Amino acid sequence: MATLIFKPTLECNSNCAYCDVVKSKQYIKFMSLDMLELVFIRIDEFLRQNDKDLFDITWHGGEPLLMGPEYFEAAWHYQEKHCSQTSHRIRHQMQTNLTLFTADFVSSLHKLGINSFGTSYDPLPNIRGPGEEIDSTRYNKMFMQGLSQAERFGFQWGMIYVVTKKSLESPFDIFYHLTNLNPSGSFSLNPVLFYNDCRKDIEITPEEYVDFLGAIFPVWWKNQIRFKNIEPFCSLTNSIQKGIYRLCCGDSGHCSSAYVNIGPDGECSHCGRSADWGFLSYGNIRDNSLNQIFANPKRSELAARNAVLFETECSNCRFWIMCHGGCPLDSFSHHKSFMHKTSWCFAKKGFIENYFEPITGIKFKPNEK
Amino acid sequence: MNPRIIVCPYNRSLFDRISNQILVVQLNDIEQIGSVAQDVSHSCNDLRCAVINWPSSLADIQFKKEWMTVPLAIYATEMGPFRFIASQLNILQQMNLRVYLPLNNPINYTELRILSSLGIASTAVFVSKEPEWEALTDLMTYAVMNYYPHAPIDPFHYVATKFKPDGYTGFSAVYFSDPTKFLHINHAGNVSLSSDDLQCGKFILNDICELDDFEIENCPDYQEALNEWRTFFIDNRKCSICQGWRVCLGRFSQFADTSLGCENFSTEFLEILEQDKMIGQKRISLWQL
Amino acid sequence: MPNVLFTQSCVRSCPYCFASEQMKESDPNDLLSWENLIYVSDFLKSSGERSISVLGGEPTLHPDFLEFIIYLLERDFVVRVFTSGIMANTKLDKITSALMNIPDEQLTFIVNLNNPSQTPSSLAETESVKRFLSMFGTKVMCGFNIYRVDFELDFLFQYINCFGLKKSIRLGIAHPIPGAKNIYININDIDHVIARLMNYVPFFERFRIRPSIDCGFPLCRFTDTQLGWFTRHTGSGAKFGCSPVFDIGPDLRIWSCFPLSSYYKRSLFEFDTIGDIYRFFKEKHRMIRSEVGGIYPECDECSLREDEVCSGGCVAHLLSIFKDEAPVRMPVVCQ
Repeated sequence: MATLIFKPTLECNSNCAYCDVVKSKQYIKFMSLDMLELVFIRIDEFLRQNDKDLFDITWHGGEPLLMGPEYFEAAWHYQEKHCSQTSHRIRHQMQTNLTLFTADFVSSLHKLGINSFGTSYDPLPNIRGPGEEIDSTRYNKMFMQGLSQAERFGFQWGMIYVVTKKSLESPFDIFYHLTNLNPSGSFSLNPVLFYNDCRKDIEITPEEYVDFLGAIFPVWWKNQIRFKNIEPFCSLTNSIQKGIYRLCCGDSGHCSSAYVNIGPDGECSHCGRSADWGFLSYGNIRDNSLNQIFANPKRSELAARNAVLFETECSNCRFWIMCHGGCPLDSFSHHKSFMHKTSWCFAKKGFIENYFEPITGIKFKPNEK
Repeated sequence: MNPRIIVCPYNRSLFDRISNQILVVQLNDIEQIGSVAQDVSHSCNDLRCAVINWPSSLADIQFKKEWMTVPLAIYATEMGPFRFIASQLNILQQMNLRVYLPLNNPINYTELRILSSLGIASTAVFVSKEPEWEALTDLMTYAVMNYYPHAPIDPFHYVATKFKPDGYTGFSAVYFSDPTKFLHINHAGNVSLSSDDLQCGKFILNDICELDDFEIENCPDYQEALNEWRTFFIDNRKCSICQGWRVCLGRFSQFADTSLGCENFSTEFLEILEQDKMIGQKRISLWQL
Repeated sequence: MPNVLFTQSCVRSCPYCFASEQMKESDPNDLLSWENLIYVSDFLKSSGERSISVLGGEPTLHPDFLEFIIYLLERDFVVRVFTSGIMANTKLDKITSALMNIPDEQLTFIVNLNNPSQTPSSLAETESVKRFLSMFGTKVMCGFNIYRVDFELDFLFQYINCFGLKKSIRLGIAHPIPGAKNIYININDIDHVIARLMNYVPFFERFRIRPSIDCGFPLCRFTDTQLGWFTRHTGSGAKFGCSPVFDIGPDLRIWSCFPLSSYYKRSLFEFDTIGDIYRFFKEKHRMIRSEVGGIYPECDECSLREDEVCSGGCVAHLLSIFKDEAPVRMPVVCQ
């Protein structure tokens, strides 16, 4: 399965404290309709050449809803025009801040098969919001308005919460606030990540992240029916208790071959983060087919990473099967090389050893080497 | 428009202007109980219940046999001397009746339980005075967890039957004030989302006859009412971080800033509902023929 | 049939009172609440129990006595109220007007009567009792506790005839409270008590009054003739058991019976059914009797005790003996 992180714009109506995107240099603010059409031509071409593959498109940004409802109508039109034989293998998702969502988007998004959103929210002041001052009050009002509209029209939604230094003071308040909003999809607690340009006032260490999770975990463990789909707790529990490993891209060990990011100007990068951080560029879809992009020689270094780590830094690690050395971009961020394990290794290992195993009494025993 | 139950005053000409609706009729006089069902039926409507605000104790009412078929909600100030209730128990137990008692009097917590144990459905009415949380918790536990059959005590029984472990379960419908289920009209035929709105002249329709063509989902006031709860989160109010939010939804918010009582109560309520749900799921249901 | 205490205070101080120890340990203001009454009612109903005995102290002292009785009747219980019959006129009038017309089979008052000459009380108390008896007549069964060997029952026959009371007398024998100093019938005097009781046979026969003997009488102290008389005259014979009755206090603490009120006290909340409670206390009784079979040495070898025709006398006697002994018994028995 191929996954496209599709960023028709890097513009955003918010100025979230931890976002790297808005700080990147970019020349094309919004993807043109011509480029949009080319994307679908390339997708169709790829799917004809790989007749067993599925193609996941995650609309991302910036803020994708800035493109306006007509843009998504156009996307659907191009998909119908160019992917008539392959559209059944195309699935769309969207990551949005929901602040711009209105009833006008419903029809076109439904046509694209988008029935749910991934979003992000923070109850703490001045973390998410527009302007230099990061006006979170105004932001939260807009978020709630957009969310209420989305729910009114039957959209499901999941949420990512980015854990920052400010979150560490009140893990329970944050946890209850967010779960009380009752997302219909999953709710992920992710650490804030920076590349180069770090923010000391909100940066956290892996140890701090582990302790944040560890404070909340006993509450979740005791009330799993009440708090469904809380990540990383659910997937870790499934992995440890049942041996089911549904790993995210960075932990899967397979990200080298399956991901691509396309920016507003058609430039391709490995994934959303690599595009935001400005490395692992694979060329432009004007000049390259998706097959060529997926076969780009730069990916071979990523492909070799598993074997190298397995023999070196990660040898004999019992968590290898659920981690595979973590996200190669974290490694590059810290070491300027992909051939190291993630600097966030402790986030998983420390949580399992310091919290999961003692609290649950369940010892993680990997069932494959 | 999705069907709503119409809460209206006892007014025959008003009934005639509505048809094929389900009505909750507010009576002025207890003697109207005898005629309300017939009047509603004659106007081609269905009576959900008749509501009477009785200004003294339940025991002061002389219940009549002919009232037995009328679905009734009686708001009383208290139960009154038990022996007077007992003398009418035969009729009361056969009536289609819910007794609403306010929680401004400590004895009413006990009286709700007494009525329920004798097979008379009862409802606790929250007032501006802060509830006695411990007594309320005891009452709630009895309502939900008591193993011996008894009549429902609302709002606890209502919440328990509709409880979704991973969702919200509010209970404003118990007091006829849920805009997804009820509309309120006055003698003039003006339509509002709640009795408070009706009293202060906030109408969504000027006349009941506009109801048939009305798309309530597109009404801004309706959407505002549905989403009012989100202000707790926007404003980062204490209720937004309360463990018991899912079953309170801000109902006790006026006490939240000065007392831990509502949080403790709501949290325990939630835990008891979850426990009750789990026990219910473990019960083996008989295979069907 | 379980006993429920409405109050822990009384209007009298009977010299033999075996509830005295329980009342001494308790707060006299401790009253059964509505919530606890409802809980007890539900508990008994769910155990299939249809009868309930109401006790105290003096249950009519409870401010909600009448309401509680009406409640129990509305819950379809057959109610027995153990009372002294002593109360103010106003209260008596109120109770009478409310309960007068309840069918006799649904409501009974067991009035514990003391001999006016042997256990004197004030004139006011005596008059109060008589008023009660005259008001409730056919709902009243006399109760009498034998605490002295020279007891006299004559006044009971007089009361029964005069006030139209039920034609039966509930005879109890005063038992010791282990560890306390109350008046009771020594086991060596039981023969005299029985002999004296049988002297009243002509009275029982003439007035057609049935005696019923409460727990703790030993079978072996009755002759076959005496037992035969009981069987013929009562239709069912006497019972010689000593098994847990169990009492429920206002705070829902429970104990096996009043003389054993300090022994393995528990809470009603610890049990799911009446059966569980009986089994619990029965096991405690069995533990005691595994140490000593009965109140007489010959009880250990008695086949009738082994076959549970007779319990071997009141278990309170045995515990009393243990309490006064050197600690030779199993600790769990002497808790």
